[in-house]
Amino acid sequence: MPVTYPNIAYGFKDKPKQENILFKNATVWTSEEEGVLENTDVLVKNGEISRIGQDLNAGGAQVVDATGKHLTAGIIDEHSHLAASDINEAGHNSSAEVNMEDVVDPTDIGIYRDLAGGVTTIQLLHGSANPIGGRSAILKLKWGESAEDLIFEQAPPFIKFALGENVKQSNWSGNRFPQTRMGVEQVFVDYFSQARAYETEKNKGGEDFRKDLEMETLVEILNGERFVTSHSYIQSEINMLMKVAEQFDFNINTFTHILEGYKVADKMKEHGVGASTFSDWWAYKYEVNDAIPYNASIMNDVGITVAINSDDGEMSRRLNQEAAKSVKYGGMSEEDAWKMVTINPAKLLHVDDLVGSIKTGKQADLVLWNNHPLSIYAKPEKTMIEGVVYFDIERDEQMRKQIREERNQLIGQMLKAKNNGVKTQPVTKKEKQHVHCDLLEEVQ
Amino acid sequence: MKLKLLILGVFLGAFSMQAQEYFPKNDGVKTRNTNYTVFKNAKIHVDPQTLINNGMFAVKDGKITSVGKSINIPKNSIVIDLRGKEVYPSFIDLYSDFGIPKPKRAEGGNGPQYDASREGYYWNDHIRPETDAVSHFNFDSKEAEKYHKAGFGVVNTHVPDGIVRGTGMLVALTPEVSEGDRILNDKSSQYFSFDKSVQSRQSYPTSIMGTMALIRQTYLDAEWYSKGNADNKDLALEAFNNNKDLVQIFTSDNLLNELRADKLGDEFGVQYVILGSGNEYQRLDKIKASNATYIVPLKFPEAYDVEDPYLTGYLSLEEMREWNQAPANLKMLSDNKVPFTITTNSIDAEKDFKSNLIKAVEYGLSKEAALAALTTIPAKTIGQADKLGVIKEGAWANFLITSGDYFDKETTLYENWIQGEKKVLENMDITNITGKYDLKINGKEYQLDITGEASKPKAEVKMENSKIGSKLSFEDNWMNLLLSSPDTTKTEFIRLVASVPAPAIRSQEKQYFQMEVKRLSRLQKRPILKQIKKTRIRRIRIHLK
Repeated sequence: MPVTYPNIAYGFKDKPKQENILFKNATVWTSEEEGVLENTDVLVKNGEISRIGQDLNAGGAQVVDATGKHLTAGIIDEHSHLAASDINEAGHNSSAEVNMEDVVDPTDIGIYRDLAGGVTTIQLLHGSANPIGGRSAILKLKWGESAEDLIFEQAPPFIKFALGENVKQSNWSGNRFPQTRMGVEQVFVDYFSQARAYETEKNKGGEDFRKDLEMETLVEILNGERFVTSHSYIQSEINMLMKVAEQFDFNINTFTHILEGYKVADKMKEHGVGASTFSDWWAYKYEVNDAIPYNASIMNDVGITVAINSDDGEMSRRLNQEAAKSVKYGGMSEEDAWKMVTINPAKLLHVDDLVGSIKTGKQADLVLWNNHPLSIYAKPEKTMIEGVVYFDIERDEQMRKQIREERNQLIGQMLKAKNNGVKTQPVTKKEKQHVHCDLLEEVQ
Repeated sequence: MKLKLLILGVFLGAFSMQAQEYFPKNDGVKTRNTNYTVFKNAKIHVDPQTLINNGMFAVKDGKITSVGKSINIPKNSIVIDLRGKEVYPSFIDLYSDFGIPKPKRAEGGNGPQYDASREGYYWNDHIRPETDAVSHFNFDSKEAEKYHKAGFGVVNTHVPDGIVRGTGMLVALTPEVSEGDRILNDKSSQYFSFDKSVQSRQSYPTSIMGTMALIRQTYLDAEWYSKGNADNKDLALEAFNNNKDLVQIFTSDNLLNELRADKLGDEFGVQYVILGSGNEYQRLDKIKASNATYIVPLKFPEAYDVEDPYLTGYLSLEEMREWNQAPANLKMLSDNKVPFTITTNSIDAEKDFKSNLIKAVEYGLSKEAALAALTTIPAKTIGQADKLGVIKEGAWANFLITSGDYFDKETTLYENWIQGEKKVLENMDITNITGKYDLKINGKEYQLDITGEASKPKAEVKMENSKIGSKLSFEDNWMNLLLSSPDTTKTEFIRLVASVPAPAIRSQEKQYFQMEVKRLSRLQKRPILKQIKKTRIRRIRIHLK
């Protein structure tokens, strides 16, 4: 049997290549000021959006008739744990030295499923076991490529922080500092004070200086060279972290989850922090009891950059529907709702000059939908990253057929082997883990 | 002056021929074996590319002293004729825990442990570069025998525990000598892994990225420590710095971790030798780009039992493919010029090594590449090129004597010589007595059919198409055939005993050999041999068809 990339079902025998494509006559959701453009052509050339307009000349590009179809920017998931071999380094209360880029797993079928849901970029976050988590990996979902080739190189560095129950380990008996929310604050103050002292030492440039990977990361945060996205639920802690940041003269970039954001939206606006939240996922633990589905709309109205995220491999592939819920709850406009999964998360990740909208010169991360993208009937027909079509609904049909055939062939070979007296092993049922940010063990 | 140097060189040469002994002896007079053992008429695989047909080589003091088409036979030589047999260098396994007791698991306490258990060492218990295999090592002759049977002569062993595991040692599997003779290098390598030590409960790191960060910090701290910057003594970092020029071996059990290990090495200018998973074929371009030498296990997944269609539904395409593809891994590595060695780690060396190796060859791995992966490449990787893995003047006398092509299923591995010490696995002077014979005893004619392996022949005896009960044993070239009486009403037995000359006496003409015939009388419910009452000895002729 030939090897595919990755070597599992739906892997590519030949990796897809960059194509020049002209989408003809589409309804184009730009996620820009231009809004939604009817009957518009978009030309993709050399991995970039080359032109947007009427009756464009293909100039050798393959023409895709998009009449009655909707073209959008690829969805960006600000909070994901897909494509990872591990989620949490729970051995210390600060793990700023660890890097999720080290543990990218390009063979996770979740990547392909996300592409089938129109997702092109994710932030692979460290889990929420520690107040100071690990550095993020911002990934382009280039199915079939190796771990290092998934990394979105131009994206700036990020780190995950966490607040609440998980870090103080109140859901199980822990003996680690911090055990209370007050303690969590002290962890931050302590580490940033250490980082300041470390930086002073470093600037002296002595021969005896000891390079410390954890401190290096914290210094980057202090100097605004690395952005913080913090897992958060309770208003008091949201306020606390903003104050700690202000005390050390930097800004929190994003509060993720932020289910009580609607209570402190004005203060968040003042601090200049963005929000990445769930549409209507709550009641799974005590600290999320005050969540409401109007959260995203309220924060959006206050003027915060709001994104809808998944923290979940299953929800991730239907983020278009998650965004749509804010049209119902809070009466958000369709265009604004759509921005919450495209340009807004791009802004939060500081990659909005490259992706997140349909604009000339941006990377061609596009999704062609068969229907209105906020509709539950909408399905991506093509999902493209930098001009490479990584998901194609017709190719997907063919792959399903090939997979059935290959399975039959292999089953035939195995039955034959058994009849020839070869030793066999029994089939065991393995269930794929559903990965969230509280997973402490290695991903199976 | 030049002449003097030359003379000095000759003297040095003479000394290095045989080192002086310095061990006192109290149980007799000192004896010294200065004999040569010379092998002749052998098909010698000098290295994977070089073959000498009908060649000769000489062995003395554990080393090969000369090899060639024809060599001088010194006066005090034992000459062994290897006509029809082949000689290969013994194999080398770079990944093992041979002779190392299983590390003791730390006792469980309450809750997680955040601080190190040890004092005077690194802040993390899982960094154990000061561990040295040699102080845990005890030659395990039972385990050695398994390696002998698979054709191995040398293994690199280590304490398989921790993230930085300390130094490994290169040891010859020589039977019946002292540890001092076996140890080829007591610090041959330093091992790394992604797994924590079982000897400590210290929590950090709980993840792969934590492990990688810890290794990075260890490199940084070791460098900093080496400049004398620390106030405290850190025995672990000192050891780490001492080990830095050794071969660095990173063990992993999955493809993603193999590439992660290489990435780590690149950051610190270290090229790891990587213990692979057998799945390298799934990302060959990156494997090749790593520039690492891989130690690849010969483990292939078993076929799944797919008779139940319901259960088969739970089987992923990935698992099924792996069964189909994995045996081609070595071929694909070889085709892509990725250097690799083969390890018996994770398989039963005695039972599965040869059959899996042959399977890899059936899937397209060339025999030369397979041999190189077992001899010259591991030797070079561990810094012993020209000393191990070749049959060459000056190399250790580590070699195998086989009945033919090693990669043939039917080939017998007769002897595995390590450091000039013979380990007999199968008697190679055994005469193959299989064949069809006419047997005449007391005027009665039998048909004797001997089949099976030369060392374990089986007999079937017939008389006029009716089967006669028989039992054949064949040991040290003594044949013992027991026949029940053709007259089924009698409980008489006939025993035939013969010494079969070695080497085989088969030729074009009819041959025969002598047998003693002993007639046994009644067999009661007691062991046969005690039942001999009367014996008459006669000579019979057995004709070879």
